[in-house]
Amino acid sequence: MVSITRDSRPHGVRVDTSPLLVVTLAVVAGAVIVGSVVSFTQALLFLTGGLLGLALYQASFGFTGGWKRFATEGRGRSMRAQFIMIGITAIVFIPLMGGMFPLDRTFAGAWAPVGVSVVFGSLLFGLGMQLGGGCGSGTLFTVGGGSARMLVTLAGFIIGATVGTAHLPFWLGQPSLPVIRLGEVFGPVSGTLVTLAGLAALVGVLAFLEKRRHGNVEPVFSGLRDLTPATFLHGPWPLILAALVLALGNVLTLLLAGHPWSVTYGFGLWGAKIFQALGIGVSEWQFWQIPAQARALNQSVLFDVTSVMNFGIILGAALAATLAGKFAPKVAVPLLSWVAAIIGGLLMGYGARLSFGCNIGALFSGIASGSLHGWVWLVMAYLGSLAGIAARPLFGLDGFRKA
Amino acid sequence: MSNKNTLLFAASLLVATGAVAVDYAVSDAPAPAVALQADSNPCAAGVPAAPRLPGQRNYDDIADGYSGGPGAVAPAPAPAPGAADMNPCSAGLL
Repeated sequence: MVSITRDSRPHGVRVDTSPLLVVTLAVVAGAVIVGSVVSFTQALLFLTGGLLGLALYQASFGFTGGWKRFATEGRGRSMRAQFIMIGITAIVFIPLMGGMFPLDRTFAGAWAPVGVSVVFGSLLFGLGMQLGGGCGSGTLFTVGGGSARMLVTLAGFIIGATVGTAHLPFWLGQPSLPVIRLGEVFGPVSGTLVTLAGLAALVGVLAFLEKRRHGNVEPVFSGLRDLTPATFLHGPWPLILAALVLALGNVLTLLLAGHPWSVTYGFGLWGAKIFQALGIGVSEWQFWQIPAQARALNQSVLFDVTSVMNFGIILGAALAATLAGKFAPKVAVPLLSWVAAIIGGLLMGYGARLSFGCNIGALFSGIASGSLHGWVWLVMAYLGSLAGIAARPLFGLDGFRKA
Repeated sequence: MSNKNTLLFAASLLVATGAVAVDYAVSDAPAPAVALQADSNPCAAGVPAAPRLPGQRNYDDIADGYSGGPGAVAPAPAPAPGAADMNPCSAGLL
């Protein structure tokens, strides 16, 4: 492989030139094809996905690692950045979805009922994400970075999400509260304030616990002063910069698609199409007979917003990895780690379908939309995550104690 | 950079691209909105109105309310077309 070095790059970064050219070509071709086959808006959504993938990779903005670091080391910088990101997004989402602005269109939020399905699904998801080594967005951006192990997690994710669509009607039949929107219960302004107060309380508690354990709190805004054009291009980005870009990306998604950013619906759709190609009668499943789902199943994935954005995320992350000179790293993966990857993927896929999304669709977009299910998802997925960390040593991975 | 992992990524990208292309070839094209109406009315004037959301105004109803009052002037009927230039979409025939 060809590599070039330039003095302007931080710490002598060697750009992976050949993959960079291929990935750049794929991004341009993808945008042109989606734009001509579907619409200009869909092409913009593909590019928005690319931006999200770039930001996720450059800051290694993963929910899994951040949650694990707080659980094992008591450091909550990453989690605090996540909640700040959700808060910034909520400031735009809840008023916009509440019709506070005189726009000639309506916006759908990531709203879902709070029931057994969400509780059980998010618990499974949290468990799976620690075994799989990445959440919904984390799986996509690490696959884009050329990780072979995460490709296996993605395969499990797709299978799990598809099986989840088969069982979803049963789970939705279990006891449940209706959809509860804070923007509707309290009004758009108060709903936003309640959401921000909840997030601020979480950030405060995390900082307090960190201070009590370590005597100091890692600043969320660290790294901003060292940001130069070279580090912007080659990474790593400060966490807070990625948080801002991800919030912007979610707002752009809402404005372009009419609904917030989500990831795992696309996995279920891909799996359903693969199952169908293998002769499994997916179209007879209750979930895929709902008119909107049947239409998605019968149309090309290029017409599905989530799928197109997922493609963009993978390619955006690949672009970032090549620019950082870290594409397709050499990592020795033990056999048990592969097993953990597939089990983690299956659990995440199934759990995400039951709980109306992953860390993006349910947690990020759910809380930012003012939906109560997003908060329940957070609590249950964190509990599942603790179980997942405890289970990691069974697969030769580090758990609460370093391996 | 691992050459093995790079090749794996390239192979996955190729397989995914091929799968999307095959999926596109075998999938239904989304029906244009106007064509949906063509079954019932070959002379549709425009895109059918999207179903209204709860609370959304219906401007057709509002316009009817204003134009249906005693001050509204009824438009003159269109002249009958000649047999030679019969247009199935002209006003008054459907």
